[in-house]
Amino acid sequence: MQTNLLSLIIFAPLAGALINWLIGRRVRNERFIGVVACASVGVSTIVALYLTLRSDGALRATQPVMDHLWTWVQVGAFRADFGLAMDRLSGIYALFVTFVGFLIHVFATGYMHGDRGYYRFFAYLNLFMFAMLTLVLADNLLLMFVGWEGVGLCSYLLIGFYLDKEEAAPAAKKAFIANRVGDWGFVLGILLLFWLTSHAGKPSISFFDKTGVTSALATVASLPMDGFTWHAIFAGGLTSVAILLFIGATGKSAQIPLFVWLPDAMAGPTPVSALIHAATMVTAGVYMVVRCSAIFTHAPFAMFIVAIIGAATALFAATIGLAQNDIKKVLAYSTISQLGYMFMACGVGAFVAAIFHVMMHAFFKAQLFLGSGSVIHGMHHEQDMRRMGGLRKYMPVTWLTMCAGWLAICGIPIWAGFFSKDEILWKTWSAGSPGIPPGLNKALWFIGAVTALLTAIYMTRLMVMTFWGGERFRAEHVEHVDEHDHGHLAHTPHESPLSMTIPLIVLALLSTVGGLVGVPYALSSLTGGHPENYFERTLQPVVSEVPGQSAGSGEATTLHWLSPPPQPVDGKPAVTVVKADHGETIPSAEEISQERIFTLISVLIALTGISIGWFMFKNQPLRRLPRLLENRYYVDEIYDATIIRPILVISREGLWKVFDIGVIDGLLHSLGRTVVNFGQTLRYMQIGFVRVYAAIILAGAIVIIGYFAYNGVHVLQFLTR
Amino acid sequence: MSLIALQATNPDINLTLIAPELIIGIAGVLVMMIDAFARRGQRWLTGGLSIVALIAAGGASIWLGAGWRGARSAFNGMIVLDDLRLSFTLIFVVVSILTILIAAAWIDIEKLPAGEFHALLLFATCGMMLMASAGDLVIVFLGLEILSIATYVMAGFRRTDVRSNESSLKYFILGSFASAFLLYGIALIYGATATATLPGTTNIATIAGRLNHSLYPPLLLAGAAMLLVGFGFKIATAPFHVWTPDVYEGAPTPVTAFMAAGPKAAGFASFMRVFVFGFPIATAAASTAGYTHKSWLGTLAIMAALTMSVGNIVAIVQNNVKRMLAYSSIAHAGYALVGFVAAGAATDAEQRSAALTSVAFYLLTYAVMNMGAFAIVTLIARGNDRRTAVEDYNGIGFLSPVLAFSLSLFLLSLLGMPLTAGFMGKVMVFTTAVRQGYLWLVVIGVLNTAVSAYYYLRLIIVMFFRERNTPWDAPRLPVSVALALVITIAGVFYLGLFPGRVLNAFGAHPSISLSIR
Amino acid sequence: MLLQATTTTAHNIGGPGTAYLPVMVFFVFAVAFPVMPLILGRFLRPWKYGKDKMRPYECGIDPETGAHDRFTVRYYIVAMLFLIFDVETIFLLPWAIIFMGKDFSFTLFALIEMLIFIGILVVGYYYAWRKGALEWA
Repeated sequence: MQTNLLSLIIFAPLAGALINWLIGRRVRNERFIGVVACASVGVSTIVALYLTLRSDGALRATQPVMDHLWTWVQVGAFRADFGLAMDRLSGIYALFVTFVGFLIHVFATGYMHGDRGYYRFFAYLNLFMFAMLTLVLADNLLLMFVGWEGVGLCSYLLIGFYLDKEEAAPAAKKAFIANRVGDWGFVLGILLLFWLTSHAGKPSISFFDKTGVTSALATVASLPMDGFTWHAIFAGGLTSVAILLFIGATGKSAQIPLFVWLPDAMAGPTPVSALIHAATMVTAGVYMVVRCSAIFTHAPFAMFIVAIIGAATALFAATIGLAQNDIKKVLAYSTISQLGYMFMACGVGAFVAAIFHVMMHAFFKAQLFLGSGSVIHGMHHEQDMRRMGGLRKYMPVTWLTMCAGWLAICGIPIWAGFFSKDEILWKTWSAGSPGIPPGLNKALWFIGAVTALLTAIYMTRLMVMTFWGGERFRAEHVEHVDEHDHGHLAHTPHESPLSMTIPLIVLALLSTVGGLVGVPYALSSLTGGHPENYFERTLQPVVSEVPGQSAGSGEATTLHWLSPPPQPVDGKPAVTVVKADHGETIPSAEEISQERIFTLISVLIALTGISIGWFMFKNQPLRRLPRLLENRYYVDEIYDATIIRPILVISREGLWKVFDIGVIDGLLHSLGRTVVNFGQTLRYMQIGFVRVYAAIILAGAIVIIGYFAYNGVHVLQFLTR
Repeated sequence: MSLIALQATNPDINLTLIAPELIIGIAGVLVMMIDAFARRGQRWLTGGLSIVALIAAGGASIWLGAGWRGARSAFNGMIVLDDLRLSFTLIFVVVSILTILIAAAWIDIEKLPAGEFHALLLFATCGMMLMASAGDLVIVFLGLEILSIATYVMAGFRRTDVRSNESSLKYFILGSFASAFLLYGIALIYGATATATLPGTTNIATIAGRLNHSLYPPLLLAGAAMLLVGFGFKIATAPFHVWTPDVYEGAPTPVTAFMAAGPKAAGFASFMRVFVFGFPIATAAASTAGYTHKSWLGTLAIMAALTMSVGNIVAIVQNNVKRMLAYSSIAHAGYALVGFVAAGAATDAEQRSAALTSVAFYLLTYAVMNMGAFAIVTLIARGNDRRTAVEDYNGIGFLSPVLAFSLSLFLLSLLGMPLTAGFMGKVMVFTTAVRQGYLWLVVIGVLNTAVSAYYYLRLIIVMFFRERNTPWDAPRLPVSVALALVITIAGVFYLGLFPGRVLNAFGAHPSISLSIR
Repeated sequence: MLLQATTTTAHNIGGPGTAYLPVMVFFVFAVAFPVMPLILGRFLRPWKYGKDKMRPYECGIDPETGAHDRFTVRYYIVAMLFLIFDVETIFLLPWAIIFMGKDFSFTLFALIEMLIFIGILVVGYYYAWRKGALEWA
C-alpha cells in the first residue's frame, strides 16, 4: 500500500519542533508550547494507529505500507530513497514510540513547568520524535542512519539541556563520543553490506523490495551462511557486517563496552531519560538488529557475540544497579541490564521475544522513570534515595503507579514484564541455533535467571528506600538548605499535578495488562481453549528464522483469542479466524510442560528477589553495599586510565607537541614565513614611484616581446611573397 | 584604394546591433545635460536615469540574445554579436548598476557632484560594452579609451584628497603608457597583415585568416606581443599589475569596486576576442599561425601562474583592506586567466565556447562578490576613506552584525567556499583548464586558493574575535546600499547554488570567429 | 594612400628587406625633424644664457618647483578644449573631401553623421561653458 499519510507521522513532530523553535521562543507561553508539542506527537500517534490497524494496515497486510518521498541517491543500479515503510515490525515500534512519546510529552508539560528553556526543551523533544520515527520507518539503512544520527544529536542536546548544571555538559559530550564510536561501526557496516550486495549483483541497502530496488535483506538471505569461526569476523563477509552493525548497536543501546554514557545521561531532564534513555532511543539498537535479522541469522558467530555481550551486560549492569543511591542511576543501570536481556534474546534467535520485551520495557521503564520524575519533582529536585523514604503518604498516586512498574519489571505474573522476560528466558533455555554451542544456552539462561533475581532485589530496594521507611528528607534537607540555597524549607513533598499523574496512570495500566498481547501458548492454554500468542504471530513473518531452531516458531491456532486487547496501542479488535499459515507448529506436550516449569521457576525467582530486597532494606534502607559495586566496578576509572588518558597524553605530548607543533606547524610556519617574506619582498617593489612602475612594465614588455621575437625567428621561413 | 573608393563602400549600418551601446551613450549625454541644468536636490534624477538606461541596455542585449539569428556582425565587421559579447554586456550592466547603488551613499557623504559621476560611469560603461562588442582592433581601442579616460577621472573624483589625485595621475600616466603599447601593436598588425594583393587589416576575423599569408610575419608577432602587454596592463596581470594597488587604494572605494569588476571584465572580453579569435589555434604548428598561437598561449599560461601567486602572496602582508582587496583582484584575474588559457588551447569550437563561458561566468561571480565586499568597505570607510585599515575592523562582528556577516559571506565567496558563487566560478574555470590538459596551472590555482584563505579568513577573524579598543559608531545602512547588498548576497547564493541558468544563457550559442566579407 | 603606396611598393619590389625602405625613410625624417633644428639653432642663435633663458618653455608655468606645490589647472583646461576642437577640425577636413562623392549618393549620410558628431561636441562645449570652464578669473 502506498500512502502519503505515512510521512505525516514523521513530519508532524518536525513541524511541531519548528513552530516551537520559531514561534514558541517568541511567545514564551507554556500553554501554547505544550499544546503544539503534544498535538504534533498526538497527530503522529493517531496516524500511526490508523495506518497499523485499518484493514489493509501494516499489522494486518503482508506487504508493508510504503511512502516514497523522493529518490535520494541514485548511482548506477544503486538507489537509496527518502522513503518510509511500515511493516509489522516498524508498525509496532511506531505505535509504542508515538504513544509512549505522547504520554511523556504530556508529562513533561507539567514537569518542565517554569523552566526558562521550556520552548527549547519541547523543540528538541519534538525533533527527537521526528528523528526516532525516521529511524524506525526508514525503508533503507542510509535513511535509518540519518534518523540514527538525528536521535544521537537530540540526545546530546537534551542531556546537556540544563545549561547551568555542571555535570550535564560532560555527560552530553560523553554520550556523543560513545555514540560516535558506535556510529563508526554502523557506517562501515552499511558500506560493507553495500559492497557485498554489489558483489551479488544487486547493489542495495534497502529493507524492502520496491520498483527498481531489490531488498538487500532478501539478497543476503540468498547468500550462504557464514561459518562459526573467529575468522569470520575479519573475513569481510556477513559476519563482519553483522559485527559492525552490532558495534553501532552497542553504542546506541549502551552495551558493553560502550555503556558508560547512559548513567551519566541521567543529567538530562527526567522526561528525557524516560523517553530517550529508557523507552525509545536506546532500543534502536535492538530494532536495528531485529530489522537486519536476515544478516544475523546468516552470521552465527555474530549471534554468539551478541548473546554473550547481551548476557554479560545484563548481569554486569544489574550488579551495579544494586548499589546505586541516585534513583535515576538505578533506573539507568536497570535499563542497561534490560537492554542486555533483549540482545541476549536476539543472540539466541528469539527476535520476536526481544521486540516483545522492548515494547513491555518501554511501558514499565517509562512508567518507572516518569514515576521517579514525579518523585524528584515532588522532592524539589532531590534525586538521592538516601534522603527520601516514606513518600507513600505524600505521593499516593505516584506510589501506586510505580508499584505497577515495579511488579512488571520484577516479573510477577500478569504484569507486563512477566511475559516478556519469561519468554526470553525460555527461548534462551531451549535455543538451538548454530550460533549457540551446546551448553551455552543453559549458561545464558542461568545468567538471565541471576539477573532477574538481582533486578527484583534492586527494584525492591528502590521502592523501599523511596516509599517506605522513615522520612529521611526532613533532617537532611535542613542541613543542605544553605548549600543548595533552595529555600524549600517550608515545603514538604507533594503529589504532582494531573498532567503528570495521568500519564503515570496510563503507563501503569499498560505495564499491568500490556503483556497480555503476547501470552505464550504454554500459559494461555492453562486457562482453557487454545488462544494464540498474538504478538508472536504478527511479528513472525518479518523476522528471519534461525535455521535449526525448534522452539522459535510461534504457537499456532485457528481459534479466536477471546479477550479483547486492553488498550489501543498494541490492540486490535478481537481477531477473526486466522489461518495457520507461516508454517507454525504446535509445540509438543513435553515442551509445553517444560515451559510451564520454567515459568514457575522465574516466578519463584522474582518472588525470592522481592523478599530478599524487602527484608534487607525495609529496616535498613541505608545498608552499605560493596564498594566495588557502588563505584560501578571502576569502569569509568579504568576507561579513563586505559583509553582516555593515554589518548590525551598521546595527543598532547605526541601528536600535538611533537607532530602538530613540530612537524606540521613547523612546516606550515616555515612555509608561511617564506610566503610572507616573499610577499614582503614583492611589497618593497611597490614603492609608489610611477617611474619604477613604468620600468617594471617596460621590463615585462621587453621580456614578452623578446619571447615573441624569438618565436618570430622561426616564422621567417614561412615568408610568403 | 583611395578615399574616393572608400565612400563607395556600403557603410553596413545596423543600429539595432549596437542598441545597448547607443542607449548608454545617449543616456550619458542626457545625464550630463541634466547635471548642467539641474539644481541641487535633484541628484536622484541622474542616478535614476542612469539605472533606467542600464536596465534598458541590459534588456536590449537580452532582446538581442532572445531574437537569436546566428552570430552577426555589422559596420563592416566592426561590431559583432555573439554570446561572448552579450554575456559580458550583462556583466557590465550588473556592475554599473551596483556601482551606482553603492556610490549613492558615498556621494552623499562626500558631497560630490552626482551627475558628473553618473555621466562618467555611463561613458565608461559604453566604452566597456564597445570593447566587448568590437570585431575590430580599432573599435577595441576606441572602447578602451572611452573607458579609460572616464575611469581616470573617476579615480581622481575626490578632488581635494591627495591620495585620490595621486591614484588618478598614476593611473593616467601608466594607462597611457599601456595604451601606447596597444596602439603600436595595432599599427604593427595592420602593417604586418598586408598581403600581396590587399592592404593590412585590423579586423580580428580577417587577421586570423591572413596569419599564414601575411607579408611580415615577424612584425605580426611583435604586434601580438604589444597587444598582449596592453591588455595585460588593463586586466592587471603580473608583471603589469604594479599600478593596481596604488590606484585601487587611492581611488574612492566605489570607484575601486567598479574598476576591479568592470574594466577588468571588459579587458578580458576584448583580450579574449582578439587572441582567441584573432590568433587562433592553428592546424599546423609549424606555421606563422602556429608560432603566434604558441607564443601567446605559453606567455599567458605563465602570466596566469605569476598573477595568481603574486596577487595572493602580497595580499597576505597587506594591512589596508582596500589594498588587500586590490591584490585579491589581481589574484582573481589570474584565476580567470586560467580559463582564458583553456579557451586558447581548445581545439574544437564547443570546448572553446565552454571555456569562454567559464571565464565570463567567473568574472560575473567575481563582480558580484567583489561589489558586495566593497559596498561594505565603503560604508565602514566613511567620509574621506578614513577607516580602511585592518585594525578598523577589530571586533565589529557583533557590533554591526549585518555588515560583518555579509562581508564574511563575500570574503568566503572570494575564497571559494562551496555553496557560494566564488566556488562555482573557480570550479568552472579549473574544470575547463583540466580538460585542456593544464593540470599544473590548476594545481597552482588551488594552492593559491589555499594561500588566499589566510588573508580572507584573517579579516573575518579580526571582525569576530579581536577586541575592539576604539569606540565604534555603526554606520547607517542607506537604502541604496542595502539594495546593493541584497542583490549581491542573493547573487552569491544564486550563482553558487543554481549556476545552470546563467551558464546556459552565457554559453547558449558557441562563439565563433566571424569571417567578414 | 601612403600605406597603399607602401604596400604597392612592396608588391612591386618584393622581398621583406626592401619593403621597409619607405619606413626607413620615414624614420630618418622623423629623427631628423626634431634633431636638425636643435643642431642648427645651436649654430645660428646668439649665445646669451640666463636663468629664464635656460628654461624649456618660456611661457605657462614654472617647470621646476617643489613636487607638492599647487598650480593652476587653467592651462590644461584651455589646452584640452583647444585639443578637442582641433581634432574636430582635423576630422572635418577629410570629411569635406569625400563629402560630395562621385554621384552625391553619399552626401546625406555623411551630412547626418557629421551633424551628430558636431552635435556631441556642442553638448560637450555647452557643458564646459555651463560648468565654468571658460571663465578665466
